[in-house]
Amino acid sequence: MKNALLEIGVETLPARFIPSALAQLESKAAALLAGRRLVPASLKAMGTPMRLALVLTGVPERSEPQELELTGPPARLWKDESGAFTKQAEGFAKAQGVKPADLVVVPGPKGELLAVRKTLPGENAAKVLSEVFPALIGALEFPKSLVWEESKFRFGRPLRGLCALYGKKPLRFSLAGVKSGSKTRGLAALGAKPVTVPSPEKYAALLRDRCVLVDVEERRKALRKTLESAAKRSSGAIDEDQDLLERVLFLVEHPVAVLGRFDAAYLELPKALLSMVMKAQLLFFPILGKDGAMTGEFVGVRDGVSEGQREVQTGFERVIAARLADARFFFRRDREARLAYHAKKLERVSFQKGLGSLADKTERVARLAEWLAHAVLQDRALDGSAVTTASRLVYADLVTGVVGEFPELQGVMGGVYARAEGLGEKVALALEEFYQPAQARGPLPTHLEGCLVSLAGKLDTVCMMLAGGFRPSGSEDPFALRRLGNGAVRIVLERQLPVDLEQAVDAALGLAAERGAEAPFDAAKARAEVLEFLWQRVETLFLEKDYKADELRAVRAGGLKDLVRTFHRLAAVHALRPDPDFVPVAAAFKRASNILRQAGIDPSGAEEVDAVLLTDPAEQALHAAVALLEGDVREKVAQGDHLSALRALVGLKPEVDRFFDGVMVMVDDERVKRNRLQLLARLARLFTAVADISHIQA
Amino acid sequence: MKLTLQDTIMSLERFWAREGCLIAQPYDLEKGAGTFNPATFFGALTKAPTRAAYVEPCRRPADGRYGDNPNRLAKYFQYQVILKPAPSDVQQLYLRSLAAIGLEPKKHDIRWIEDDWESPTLGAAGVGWEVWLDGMEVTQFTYFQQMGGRALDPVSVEITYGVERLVMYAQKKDNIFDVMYNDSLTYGDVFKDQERELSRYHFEASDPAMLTRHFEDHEAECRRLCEADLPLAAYDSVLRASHLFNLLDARGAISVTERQQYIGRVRALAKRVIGAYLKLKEPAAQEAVP
Repeated sequence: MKNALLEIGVETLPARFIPSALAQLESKAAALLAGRRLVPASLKAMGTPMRLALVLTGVPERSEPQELELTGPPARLWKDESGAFTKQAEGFAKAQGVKPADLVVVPGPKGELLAVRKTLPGENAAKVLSEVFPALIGALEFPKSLVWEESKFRFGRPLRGLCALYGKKPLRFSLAGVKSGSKTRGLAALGAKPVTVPSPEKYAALLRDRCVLVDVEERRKALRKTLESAAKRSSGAIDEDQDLLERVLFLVEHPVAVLGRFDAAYLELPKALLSMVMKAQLLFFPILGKDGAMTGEFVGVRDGVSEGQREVQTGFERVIAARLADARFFFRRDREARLAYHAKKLERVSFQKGLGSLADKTERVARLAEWLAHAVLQDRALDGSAVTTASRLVYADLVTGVVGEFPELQGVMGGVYARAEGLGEKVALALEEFYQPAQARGPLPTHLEGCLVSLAGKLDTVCMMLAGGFRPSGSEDPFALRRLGNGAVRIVLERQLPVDLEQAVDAALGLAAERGAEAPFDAAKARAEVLEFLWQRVETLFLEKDYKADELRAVRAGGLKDLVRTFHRLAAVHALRPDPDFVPVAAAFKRASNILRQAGIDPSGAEEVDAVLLTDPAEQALHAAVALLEGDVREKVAQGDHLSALRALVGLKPEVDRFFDGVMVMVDDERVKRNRLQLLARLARLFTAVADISHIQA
Repeated sequence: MKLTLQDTIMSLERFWAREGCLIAQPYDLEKGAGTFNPATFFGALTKAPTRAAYVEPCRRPADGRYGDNPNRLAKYFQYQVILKPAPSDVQQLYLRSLAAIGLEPKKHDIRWIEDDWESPTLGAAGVGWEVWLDGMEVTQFTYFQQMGGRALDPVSVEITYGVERLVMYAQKKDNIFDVMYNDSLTYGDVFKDQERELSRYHFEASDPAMLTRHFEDHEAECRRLCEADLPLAAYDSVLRASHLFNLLDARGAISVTERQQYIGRVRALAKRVIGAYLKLKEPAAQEAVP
């Protein structure tokens, strides 16, 4: 047993490539080694931007021998009638290097076969590893790769060094014009002179002495420690952005934090803009004061040694000053004009190929927002003028200089500029929060006005894109339509908006046909597609909250017309489901529904039940029970107490059971049959006021 | 040692001359990047090995800031190196070139940040980095993969230094205009008036109608010269059309959709020139291309 090492020296790999490459090193090495029957005690991948490494412990000296069974011709061809070996048997044996007498008979899929049993001897570990390692390197996949030398080998970045050891023994192979050996290199800034790795165990320590922390966890700890020590010297605390921490971790071989400052005059810029400049452009961590505000301090992480720390600090400070000067140039220039002026430029910006300009989109969103405002107006206090103002400005910041430089600040800058213009906090927040929720569970816009504008924007995008043929498929959703649809549904549900989404979609598609869509589309088809798409979003939302697919099917009919009520109906079904009577009642109800369907009766048609024709005590009892409950159930439904209504209906179980046990519906007497069907129809109407529980599965 | 801008250029020239580069001169037409110099544009295309280095003035009309921004300029210098095939120690070679202009790698933070360069107007693309010196982007480092939509073989490595930014760092200046050009004149003394005027010209005073006309003229001229098997001459029209497009863009005279069309038009010219050039230079290889 010995340890083994592979180090792939590269020119600086992009940070985002590394975590996946390390995971692949472990999983692909394990699979390749298992295939060669050389199983190490452990595998560990390590790496920095300059090297990907794999350390194997407890690698046996030889791979496991393998028992092989090679099958040949059918067993009946072993010997002929005289007992001599056949030509076929001799030929097979010869090809396998054995005597015909040593053949064995094994069962095959279509009868017995002749076979040879062989033992493949174990192979020398060094030989196996020097074949597995190049195959492993070739198997690594990167989001983007390149060619750089004559063999046209593809890798994430040029491969420049190969160090491979089994114990102290260097392993020999070559790849992309590089020969493997026992040498590695330290930190590039220190000259990166080649140095011999004496053994796999000494690899990490050898690099540590040369300013390279190759072990990812060790480097992560060092990064936290250096950031903390820099923060101690500052006036606040580090804004510990996890994404940035992870990115920086894979940008350096040896993290050293540098605390710097910028001119307080730049604190006039919005926090989101300062944060974007620091994190996205410079990979610096802002230092925040107790109130969470920017302090004018930051921490940058350099790669390597702490020599020339002062020089690096002044460098960082100079570069942040330059970036902030640039951000301020855009910020001030943007503010020279009002948002309404910027909005005029949207005529020249296309929304989507074939779907008109962003000015067209603005007009549609504004009108749809007004339609939505009108729909909720009777129910809610609402600042209609804020809806109008905000909806006409939602896309204006897309043509400002700051958003041009930092597309991630869309919305946020609209809010900043609206506030500065004095458009009022409601309008400013509506613009700032227009794109919310940004994640599946992210917050919704704060105010009702903002919610309506945001809902209008999302519905418009979903309708336009689906009508225009830009459908998400499988895991592909390049325009994030699912997220938008999810946001729209959440706004209606969580703000309890009395909005009929079927009508809203009609309104949105009407506006689409009027303005923006450059080619006519099939409105009925688009409507069906959008409604189905939105219902899928409703389903996704509730399935995540543990509601069941059949429960959702029970409330599907008319579900989008009043999502809030749909939720109450769904909750009632879900809550009553554990009741022992519920599933049997659902089964009986399904039976009733089937009978009605087969008889061609639409339960919603209102025909009276003729009490005189009810002769069987079981049907009389059911009729009486339904009549008794009906008013109460309808009242509870009207009050929104779907749970009590459904509970009362489930209480009909004894009468329903008796009816189906003792009463034949499809009798010869046409009038009696008709009457009994009407009784079932009346029962069905009552249930479907809450849910069509015929969809519930046992 | 605090190198002036002209010393820095001379040091880079000496460094790369010692590495076997042909020290070329700037090409005498406006261009957006050193890649447009024929030494790189045509040099990267063919099979033959090449090593060249040169200083190249570049025009980015939209980047001008009337001389008010300490870092942004409408016209500046790149120092460009092209090496084909790419040497295996090219990253270390680059670090040594920094040391040659007074920037000791271990005293600075040198970072290689993923940045895959592409030039939509040339149909060119590569894989590489921008190099940050203490947080500032000072160099673009690219393994050229494509030009005019063709895969390049062999692959060239292109190193593009931002001369002003490097010198700002070497001289510890916060403002580009304070950089010493030589021992007595600053960069501002030499170029500030020009920056101010160029910004006014690009953003306010240029004549979009005339620029559009000239664009169309050069588009036609380029086609005509390619037909006449004069790709090197036709290439001048590509450079001119490309610059005219940049002028129109800076002036805000081009809508978003038009912008894509203009880029496509310039790219089509570049491709045409490449086709004509390779037909003359490597006729055998061209026949092999289906």
